[in-house]
Amino acid sequence: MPSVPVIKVLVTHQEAARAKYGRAGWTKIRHAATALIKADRTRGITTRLFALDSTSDAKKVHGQAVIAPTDVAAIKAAIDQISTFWQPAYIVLLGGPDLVATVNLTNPLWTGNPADDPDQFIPSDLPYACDGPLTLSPADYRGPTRVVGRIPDLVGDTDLAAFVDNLSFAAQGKSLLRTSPEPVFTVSAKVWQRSTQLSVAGLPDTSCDVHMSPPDGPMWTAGDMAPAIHFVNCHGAEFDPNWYGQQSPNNWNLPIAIAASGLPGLVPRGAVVASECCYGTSHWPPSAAQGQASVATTYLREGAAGVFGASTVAYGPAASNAYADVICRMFVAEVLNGASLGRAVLVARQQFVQAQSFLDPTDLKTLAQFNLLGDPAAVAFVTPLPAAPALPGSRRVAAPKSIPTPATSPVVLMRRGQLASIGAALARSTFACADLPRRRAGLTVTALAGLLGRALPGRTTIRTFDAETPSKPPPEAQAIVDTAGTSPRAHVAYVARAGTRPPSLVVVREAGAEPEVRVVERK
Amino acid sequence: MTQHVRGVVSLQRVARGSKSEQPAVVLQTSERSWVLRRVGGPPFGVDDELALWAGKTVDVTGYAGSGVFLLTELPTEVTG
Repeated sequence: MPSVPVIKVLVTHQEAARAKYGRAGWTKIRHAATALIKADRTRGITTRLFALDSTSDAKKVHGQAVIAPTDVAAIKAAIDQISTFWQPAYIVLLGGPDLVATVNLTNPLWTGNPADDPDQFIPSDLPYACDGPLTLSPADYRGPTRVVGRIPDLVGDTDLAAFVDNLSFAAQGKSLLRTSPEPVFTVSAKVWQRSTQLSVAGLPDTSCDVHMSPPDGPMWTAGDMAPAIHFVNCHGAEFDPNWYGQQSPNNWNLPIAIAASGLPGLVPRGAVVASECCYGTSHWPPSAAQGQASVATTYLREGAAGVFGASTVAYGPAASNAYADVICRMFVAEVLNGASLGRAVLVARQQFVQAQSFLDPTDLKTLAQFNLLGDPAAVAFVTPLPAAPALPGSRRVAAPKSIPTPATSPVVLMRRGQLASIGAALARSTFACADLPRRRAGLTVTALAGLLGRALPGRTTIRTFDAETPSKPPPEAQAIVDTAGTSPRAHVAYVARAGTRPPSLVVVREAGAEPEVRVVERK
Repeated sequence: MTQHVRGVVSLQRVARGSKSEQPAVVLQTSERSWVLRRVGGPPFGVDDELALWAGKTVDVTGYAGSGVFLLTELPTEVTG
């Protein structure tokens, strides 16, 4: 019986690449893509290069050619056609936003006042991982179904080698034999020590000594960075090539924890990075930082297989886990369990949605902002078969740590079918908050003060977001809504704290039971 | 890649409750507000050089990001 091919599609915009790198540059990109296609063949993957602007390619999937690389509606439509006709197991956005634009989704936390949340939009690849037509509402992407990653080039920069190297690393990528326990290079801002410890404690069969910044970093040794998993819970800033620690909540003299300029020579080939840092995977031109590329793109340039991180400001509490902590932990857990990086992202997104009774505005921003840079088909770990007992007198031969990635089995397609079904079910059944709040808040400052157990300034602004499902909710959920007399809703406020301590983002979630209060400590 | 915009500079606390909460210099334009930084300037806290422009209407040139407007040259005060 002929086997069904496992398909991977490299999606790019040929004319945009030619305009940026010239014809000779495009030829080199195509050669690098061809090398990846050949390498994938040995892994059991049938990989196709798809030029969004090619009429002949568009015809293959009964679609339309994309004229402008910034036309996200056309790109989304093309990827939807690809998904419908070829049902690829992996979709790779080939290039940064100069070649394949990110979708600027509405940020429900944006009020116009940077004192609240400074991001007007959430640049995201999540829409490409979801069925359904393009909208700009993150709530419309509550049910991801597809495995998507992006092998980026440098935005606003014509360093062709950086792009070609990323493709070459993907072609040369190998897997590692999973060890027990697997070491994890963990770096945390000191103020978030407790949260980070909780995150890594939730990873399966790992050993993690959490490095605190300060005092640790940024002068890491190769030994420090040798683990294949890097888990970073630090500060980040847009247009900035460093990730930062923090000594204490009121001290804004932040020490550098990881510097992009310090990474060369230290990143183990095939490393996987989960970064909770604000703007951890945002795309910006190196010229904005005096020629230094971001930490994430430098990791890739140094041979990392992937970086999972946020495009914008991210959220999480100081001493517990929520939002960025949760989705990063879920991603790393899947990687450690042997998932491809792209499947790890899809499962993490779905688990993140499933873990909430409904999606509040901060959940929605988190879901939209975390994206994968790297080949989604890369598999970081292979679990070794149980070793045969050694014969008396024989010597155990140490297994090589790095091995060729085993051939992808068509079983992966059954898994994709399952995940697509889960995503579709989540899309139908999950309550998610609207982009905009009600005209009048559904919670008074006095009531919020009662929930927090302390007095609040009268000028505190509370915004209430109602949550809905796109179709009739499941009977169980409808029964709860009927009993409560209201749909789930979230009240969001930025609340001042006593003394010199900064205000917190407070999310009060109501879903037919006692309100759940989430206080996102200052980070 | 760079853009030119006009706005009013002020000092504010930004990104409250997030991983990036900080006091910062803010540019309010007719369209929206941005955290204002300059190439080579401090990524967190108040850039004393830019704080000197607080209260003034300025023309600026730089990179427009999701939340940050990154200056590639110092602002020019708009007078009259």
